Amino acid sequence: MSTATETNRPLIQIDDEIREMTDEEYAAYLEMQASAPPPLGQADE
Amino acid sequence: MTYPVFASGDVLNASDMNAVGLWLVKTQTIGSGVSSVTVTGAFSAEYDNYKITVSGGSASTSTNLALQLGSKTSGYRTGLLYHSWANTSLAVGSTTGSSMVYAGNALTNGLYANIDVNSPFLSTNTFVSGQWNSPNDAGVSQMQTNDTTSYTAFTLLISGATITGGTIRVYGYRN
Repeated sequence: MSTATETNRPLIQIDDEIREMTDEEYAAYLEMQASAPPPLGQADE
Repeated sequence: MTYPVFASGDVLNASDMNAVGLWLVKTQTIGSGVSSVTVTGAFSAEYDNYKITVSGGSASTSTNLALQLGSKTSGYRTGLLYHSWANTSLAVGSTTGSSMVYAGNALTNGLYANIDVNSPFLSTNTFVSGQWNSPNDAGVSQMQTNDTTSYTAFTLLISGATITGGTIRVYGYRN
């Protein structure tokens, strides 16, 4: 797998390629985070 | 021979092989510290229906695994009927979801998904069912794309966390 890190943006994986998000992908990611429903209980045992 | 039990040296007849119901389409190893994983070339005309499993690995924080098909980022009909382990029944749903939110679990002690995808490549509505199984609650998750788009890829999204390691496997149900 190849990796690339240029900024502190989250990494995404497409098949075996790992790279940082593009501007468009990062904007979509932030929008998704903002609109995400309240998380259900997930505390580890 | 008596299918599906084979003995060493048996001839694999076409009738036996054509009776095999589940075929491995693709295996994808998850990298380190990623917030989403896209698997391309998962769906094709070869099969109408598929199973996706995720196992192994870990999440930086326990959260949900969400599923998107192709480039579709809105308009999902999605719902989860679940219960706490102490038996309280609950439900959540949306007709305008950005993904199948509760397609699986990304926990600090392991990743989990067991998803059935019905007709993703066909030009019909795609129907998806999955399971939610967290330390606090569990349930059955459903999704419809509410469109007739033909999809070949899917993405697993991790909300507010990253995942490392683990394996995604895609199987096709023989037509």
